[in-house]
Amino acid sequence: MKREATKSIVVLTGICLIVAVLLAAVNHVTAPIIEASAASGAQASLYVVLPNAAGFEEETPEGEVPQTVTGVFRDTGGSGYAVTLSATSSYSATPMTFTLGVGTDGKITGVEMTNYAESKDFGDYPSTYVGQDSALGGVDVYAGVTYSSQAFRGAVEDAFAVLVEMGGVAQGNKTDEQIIDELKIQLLPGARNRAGAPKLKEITVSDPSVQQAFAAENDVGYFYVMEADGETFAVAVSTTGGAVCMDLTGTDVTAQQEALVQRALELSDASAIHEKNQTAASRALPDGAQLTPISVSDQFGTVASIFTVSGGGDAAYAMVCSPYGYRSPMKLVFLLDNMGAISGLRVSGELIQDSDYYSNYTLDESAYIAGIIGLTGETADEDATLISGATMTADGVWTAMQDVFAAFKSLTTET
Amino acid sequence: MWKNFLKGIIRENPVLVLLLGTCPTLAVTTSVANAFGMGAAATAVLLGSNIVISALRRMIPDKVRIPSYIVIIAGFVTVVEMVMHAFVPDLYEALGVFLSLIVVNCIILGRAEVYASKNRVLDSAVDALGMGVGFTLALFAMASIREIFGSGSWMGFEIPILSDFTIPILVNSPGGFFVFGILIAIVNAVTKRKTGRDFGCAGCPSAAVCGANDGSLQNAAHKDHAAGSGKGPDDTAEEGGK
Repeated sequence: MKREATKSIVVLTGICLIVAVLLAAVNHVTAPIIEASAASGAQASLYVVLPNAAGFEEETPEGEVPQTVTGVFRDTGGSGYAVTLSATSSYSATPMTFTLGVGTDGKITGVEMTNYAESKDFGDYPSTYVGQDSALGGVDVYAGVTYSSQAFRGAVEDAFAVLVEMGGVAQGNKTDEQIIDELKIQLLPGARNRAGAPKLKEITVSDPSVQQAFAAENDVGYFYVMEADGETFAVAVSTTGGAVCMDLTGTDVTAQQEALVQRALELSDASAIHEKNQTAASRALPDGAQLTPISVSDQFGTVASIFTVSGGGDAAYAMVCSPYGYRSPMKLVFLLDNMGAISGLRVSGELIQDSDYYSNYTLDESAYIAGIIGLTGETADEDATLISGATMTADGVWTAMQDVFAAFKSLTTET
Repeated sequence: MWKNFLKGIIRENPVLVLLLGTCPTLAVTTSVANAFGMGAAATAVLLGSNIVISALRRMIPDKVRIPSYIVIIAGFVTVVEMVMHAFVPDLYEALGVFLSLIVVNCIILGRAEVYASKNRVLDSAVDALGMGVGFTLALFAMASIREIFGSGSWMGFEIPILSDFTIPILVNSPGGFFVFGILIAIVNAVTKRKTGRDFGCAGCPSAAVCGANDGSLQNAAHKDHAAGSGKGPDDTAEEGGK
């Protein structure tokens, strides 16, 4: 019996070793050929996007280059640049790679996909970029393939950022609408879904200074397009009490436009949101615990409500967050002690939301939460929030946790 | 030996009679070029793994035979994959994940378990070639029908008139199943007329090898092998049948 077991181990190990040696030998021969072929394939794509190019010379951009930009090549004949890009969406482990051609006029001359392994077909989406300048005013995300197209667009923006920085092409002019869309993302980051798109719904506000008003779908704040002295401003108000104002050049004018900001704060009545969140937070606390809503002036993340807690044991603060997970926003109640360490976490509903997708997924939620208890802003680690197979949900929890610690820091600084 | 080779082509065709390797069959038969590529890759793996497994059949203990076969098969698949990636990158890209999936192709493991593990190297090599050619021909036939009528082309060359009247569903999954079913029916009708065999285990072309005719699906050869004889009854049967 023992002899047979020993023989089995020896034979199987021997076979594995021989196969490994064989594979190493074949790899030794084929790897350089594969590498050369990939390089020539990438080179071929440069001529596809800039067909009239005389030849290409690789450029080394100065400063920090985004990870998406894998190579910048200048046409020696002077017709423009070809940029090789690699972008990863949350849906695919294999990056999509493509080459972007940009003429000296700053307009895209061609796009050549060199690898596309996303689960949904892109159709002719990349070709809609041809003719666009760095403003990318005429393209949007591709309906049904939101995450992949968002990643694609992000990579194109990175390419332009590098080319403009190098002085290779001129910056395109953005429309006011584009600038406002970008300010929505910049000023109210907590309202973004996992693809990075701002999830805001338009609301009606009867105020002569307000051109457009939006409320975050996850209840973290409001965004206003306002007018004063014939100039347009973007004002973001978070439900935790923060307010910021920018003009369309991207300059922070909060201090100068005090009246406008004050008006936006008055229009943003978040009492109904806090009431709803107070009910959710009280479920995470012992009976009889008292919750009082408080404000911080500089938080625009996923924290929708902050309460001080009395009679809640270790908990001194309760923060209700609404980060985006796989699809709709989650509702997470974080309890913090006086030192800012997490003393409790309650998830309203299921943490893994999409029962259709994760039908066989079993997360031990109490063990997961136990791994988060005790973390502070200094000791927090993304690994603690990791949920294998549910990356977007885990990302949402991690974002919320970072926002909670940032809010706690603001609270301690402000008080 | 000739009979051994021919059996894989019609009588025991792995795809159309034994219904093995259905997944790559349906996936890659949208074009004849891809079908040839897959057929050639699978044949190479089949030949290599059958030869090695047959050569090592007396050394590999029964208890670890399946893991051993899988390691050997996976090794050959990876070799084929690397070689294809290096020398025929277009075909490598076209076959995509189905190339790697040859590891779990039932034809390969099936021939290793049913034939190569009990027969001499030369016979196993001939069996592998026969099965490989049978697999390739089945893919070729299916791909020809799907490409000609589904895309109006053959081997990538456009066919006049037909290219204006394509049946697009044939290059989609439902069309693949439809053509697959028709081909199985044709082969079944032809072989049944010839041999008069019927459905069920006893009528299976592999019945003699897997032991179904003894009233049990348990492979008697494995029992012998496990007992340490190193040679199952099929050694005799196959050798006698040459």
